[in-house]
Amino acid sequence: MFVSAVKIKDIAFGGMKAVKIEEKEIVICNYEGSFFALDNHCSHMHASLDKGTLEGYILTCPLHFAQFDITTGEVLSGPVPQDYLRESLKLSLTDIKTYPTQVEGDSILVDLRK
Amino acid sequence: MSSQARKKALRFLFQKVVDPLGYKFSPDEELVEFCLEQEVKLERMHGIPYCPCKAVTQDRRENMKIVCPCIPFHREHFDAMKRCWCGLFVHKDVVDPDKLKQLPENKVKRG
Repeated sequence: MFVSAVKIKDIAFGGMKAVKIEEKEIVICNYEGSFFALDNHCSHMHASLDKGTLEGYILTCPLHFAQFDITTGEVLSGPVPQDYLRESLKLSLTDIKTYPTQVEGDSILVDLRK
Repeated sequence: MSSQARKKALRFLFQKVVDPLGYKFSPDEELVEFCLEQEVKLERMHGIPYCPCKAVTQDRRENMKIVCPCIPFHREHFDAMKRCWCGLFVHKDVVDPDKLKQLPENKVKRG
């Protein structure tokens, strides 16, 4: 079931915004006018991804620079640099859950059930 | 973490860096795929996509000069060859990369 998450005007081209829906924090990204929603927490150390950077379709975590594909949630690179991370930080990364979005009027809707 | 997805991401990120420098990916697609494949492996090992054709040393300061795309650190040398050392990137006007030769850095005339 799609629920309204944010207004289109609130996310500029190449921008992103974190929203909380039903106790779930997600980040919605604007990639060339298309909107993609995914969990707002990095699968490494749970940093908020909306504080990171979005370069095209690549979202970089602000904490250890792991990168994710916003269109699929796939991990593109692990936390870096590996050589300098303490053993305790060398956790394995998993893909991030993504959610379907659709635009209706001036709003972006997200389906959290999928 | 698939290497195919990472190669695609490196292409996307590198393109934005090399374009303003007057370079493009080599038209030799096989070479590009090979170099990117090696860079993905190096990145998995070190966390940084070093140039696959140059040796990583123990000196971090020196190593930073071979992080791909390393064109800004070797501009004069690469401009003289119209390609980077690996051949991953070539000048935008290059159509046939096989005609370009690798020249040792000390053979390049300083302007």
